[in-house]
Amino acid sequence: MKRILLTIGGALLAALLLVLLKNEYARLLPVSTYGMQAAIKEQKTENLFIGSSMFRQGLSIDVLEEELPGTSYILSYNGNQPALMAMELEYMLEEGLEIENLYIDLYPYTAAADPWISDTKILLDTDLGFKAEAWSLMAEKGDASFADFFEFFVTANNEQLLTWPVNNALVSSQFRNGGTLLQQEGSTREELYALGTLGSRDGLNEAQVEGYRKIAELAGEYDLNLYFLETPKYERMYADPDYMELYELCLEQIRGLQAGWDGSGSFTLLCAEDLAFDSSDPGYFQDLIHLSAAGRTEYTRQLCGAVKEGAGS
Amino acid sequence: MTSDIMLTLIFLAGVLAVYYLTPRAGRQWILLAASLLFYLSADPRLLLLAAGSALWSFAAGIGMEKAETKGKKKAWLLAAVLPELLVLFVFKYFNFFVGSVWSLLRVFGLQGSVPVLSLALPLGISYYTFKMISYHADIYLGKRTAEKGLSGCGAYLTYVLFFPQIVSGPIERSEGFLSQLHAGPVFDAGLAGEGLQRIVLGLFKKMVIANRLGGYVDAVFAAPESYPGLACVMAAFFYSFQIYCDFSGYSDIAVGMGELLGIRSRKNFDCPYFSRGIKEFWSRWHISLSSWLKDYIYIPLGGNRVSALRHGFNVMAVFLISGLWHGASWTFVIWGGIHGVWNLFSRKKKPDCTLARRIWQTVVTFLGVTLGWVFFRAESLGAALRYLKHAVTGFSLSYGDIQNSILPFTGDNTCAAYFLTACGFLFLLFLYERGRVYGKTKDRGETYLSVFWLALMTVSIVLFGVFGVSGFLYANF
Repeated sequence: MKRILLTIGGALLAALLLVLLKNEYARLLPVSTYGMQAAIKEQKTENLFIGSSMFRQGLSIDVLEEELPGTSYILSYNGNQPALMAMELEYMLEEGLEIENLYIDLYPYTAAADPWISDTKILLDTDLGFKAEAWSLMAEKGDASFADFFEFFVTANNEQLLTWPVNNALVSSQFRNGGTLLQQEGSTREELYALGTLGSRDGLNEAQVEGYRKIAELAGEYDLNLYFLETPKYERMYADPDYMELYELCLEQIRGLQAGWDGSGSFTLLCAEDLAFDSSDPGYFQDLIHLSAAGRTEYTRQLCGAVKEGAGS
Repeated sequence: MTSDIMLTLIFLAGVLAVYYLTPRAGRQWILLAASLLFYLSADPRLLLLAAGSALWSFAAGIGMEKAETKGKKKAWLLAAVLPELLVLFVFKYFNFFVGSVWSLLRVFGLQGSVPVLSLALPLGISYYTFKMISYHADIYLGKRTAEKGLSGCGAYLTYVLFFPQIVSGPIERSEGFLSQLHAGPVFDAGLAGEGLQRIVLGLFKKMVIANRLGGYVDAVFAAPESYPGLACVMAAFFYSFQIYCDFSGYSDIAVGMGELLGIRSRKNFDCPYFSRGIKEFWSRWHISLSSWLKDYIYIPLGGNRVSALRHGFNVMAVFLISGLWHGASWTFVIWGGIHGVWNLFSRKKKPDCTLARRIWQTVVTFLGVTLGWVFFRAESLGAALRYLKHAVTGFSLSYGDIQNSILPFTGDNTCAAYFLTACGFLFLLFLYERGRVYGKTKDRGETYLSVFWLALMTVSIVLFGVFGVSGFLYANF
């Protein structure tokens, strides 16, 4: 009995130690080709894009590198929200990453959600301090429970860490400078219509609006050119009143920030409707909100053209 | 609480504190109160049904013992068993039976809507019904005496509703359980240590392996045509491990909980996938059910001391009942039928054959059992056949198919990590069980875990346990 209790107790202590080590030092593992640590390792990137899967699926790293001056890096996490994007930006700037132009994903649904770490890869890329700050934001503004705490701090990413040599090589081969190299095909009109809509939300979330404000504040403090980008959605999304209501609320917030902008760099809001992108072409879309490989290339070309011309609203 | 293992363990901790603070003679009442409270958390109405059945069963046991003639004893036996079977039939089999009869009548052109009973399946009904039947059969056969008096009534209710075993068994026999209860359970450090090891082993199987594989299996079985044939093959194998780890994991936890309470139970699983034939498989899989079927159906029917034809009937009866016990659906009956036919045509394997032959026999048995699980898991016979057809016709080992076969684990680029982790833990389980069957630890006691395995399993549960998946597969049976 004594042997068993001692072994179980020792194993629990060992697990606790491993959890602490993981949360503080997992970020120091050899960097991959995507995520915050890979961006920090670059030390400098002229064009940093921070967003959700909209950016991962919507921006072509090949076209960005071809069209925009300097280097480009796409930092994308699934469902990445403004509040978390602000924290990620601050973290990377404090870690010494130099940026000239900052592009922020403007996706209204993430701005309407409660603050949440929607992609556990964020936890793999950051230290304990970042995680504690993110957790306190979630606990304060959302309805985070003990089960969520256990998931984020104890069980998240353990599979990736256990299989790191194989898994990192496999996943990293799908990215370059954060941009996806996967070539997803477009859908048919019927397939896109069958997907339906994403449903309504109750206005913008206060913590996310604060996230936008914080991003603008950081961009001003570090003399960055700031861009808010809305990637194209399939035409059906623009016919959805719930989506459009949030979209307008988001634009209102960004225009408010633009009006009060006193940074030395530029402030640009660039929506899909400002470009000549055909949102009714189903071949450009993988689903209602994500672009296909063809849509990604086309949109990125138009975006780069607009950025070079200094266009925007 | 009945479907969440962590809550059950917290409940156990509370019970243990009160249990061992209570004098030895009063502990059976603490167990009864805890079992009633546990069942109450599932459904108060169903508690009345279960406790009412147990009380009638208790009274019928006394009646049977007091009966002076064999005829009267038989009448008491029927009076005890028939209501138990009727309740089981109404709650579990009525819709299936009536639906099947209706389908048959439709063939002859008869129309009309099928009468359906919307009843929740009482927690553990298949388990406690079989417990009660074995109790009556043992009294009838003179193997034991009936429980009597207030203490006997309390002990019998505890036996029927014993909370660690109510959800998914094992189907404990009355003799061993009740004699321990009457003796007054005491804290035995050795037994408690064994119980702790069993709980760790059970949690490892359930949380780390079964729950991890469950999501993949559910996704592929729900829409096999959406995945490559390779995914169907993988899901079939994964289901074999999922159901084993889920059920034997629960059994380990249940038996371990009993041991912490000072009550020893029989083992329910004994590394079944190391069996070299189907007969050996059934001596290692769900031992409490297979031995129950042997003792109370197969042997009373004449066992193998009858004509070949009658023996065939006996074997098929046992396996078809086993199939039906698992669920009211033709897929379970077919699954039982497959195992019955396979049993009829299989011979006991010679112990002294070459290693290669033993490995071959083990692999063939595992493949056959896995094939049977497809019928067990599928929604219908048609779905099982479609699944198998797609597994064969859609099978290829192209890079794209391998990628798409791993994808259902998480649906994103972490799927390879999850797949590799699952395979890694299955390999660990294989190494552990190989040690139990062939290695150094086979003679070290039923639940012996070396410091290495105990530490490894504990760390794995904390770091790789898939929490938030409630319920056990066998709780539905």
